[in-house]
Amino acid sequence: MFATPTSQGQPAIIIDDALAALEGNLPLLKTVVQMVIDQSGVDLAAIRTDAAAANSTALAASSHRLKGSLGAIAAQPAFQACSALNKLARAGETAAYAIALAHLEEELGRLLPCLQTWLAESPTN
Amino acid sequence: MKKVNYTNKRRVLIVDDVEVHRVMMNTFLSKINPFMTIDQASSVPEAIATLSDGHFDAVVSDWNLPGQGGEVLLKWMRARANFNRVPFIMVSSNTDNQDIIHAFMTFGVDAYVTKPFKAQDLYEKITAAYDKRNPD
Repeated sequence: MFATPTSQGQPAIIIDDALAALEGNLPLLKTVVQMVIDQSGVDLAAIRTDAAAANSTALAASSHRLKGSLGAIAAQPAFQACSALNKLARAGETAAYAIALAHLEEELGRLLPCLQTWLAESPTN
Repeated sequence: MKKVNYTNKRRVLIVDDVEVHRVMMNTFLSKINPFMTIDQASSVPEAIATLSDGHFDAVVSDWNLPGQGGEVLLKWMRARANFNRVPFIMVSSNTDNQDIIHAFMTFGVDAYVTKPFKAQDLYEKITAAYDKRNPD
């Protein structure tokens, strides 16, 4: 089992769980992981812009996209952080955006290196 | 119980704003039935443009799309004679049964799956919904 280290007790991702979420399809997992790596920076940039502008409608949409990608690979800590931000955006609780965004950034900061390492070390077939 | 057909040449539209979800559903469904044609759209306007461009046998759509939700797409379909009988399969992350019942009663959803779902379950619901709308 490939589990990533964490300072908060919960791994950033458990690859076995991610693989199970994709019905054991390893090539698909590699594709999806690469998509998450490529897209999360774009999504996070949009989330930062939307949160800074207190644009709740746009933030709900941008956080929804990232939440969906993170959920697909069962990256629970980052998924939960993004879900919390999405919930705040849908409720229009602008005052809480900064704290929720910081938490999401922290979790993505743990997750993305793990995904890159796994992708680099994963078997080619 | 009717046997599930794994070789029909149905054309299905997948609507989801999350690209990863579209890729997953495309991969899963294509593996189960390689003869199925799958189109993708990331929003309701894109879905309407794609639907207007040809014949489709089923639509699989996220219900909680940002902006215009799945109900907007379904209302658009049901208001048009050429899409009125196209099965609509609702994909929801919402496990609230009341929401699902409301969607069935109010909007005429044919079937639903809640995330996370099994690919085989989604495929069987697509084919069952199609068969119900198109009896032999």
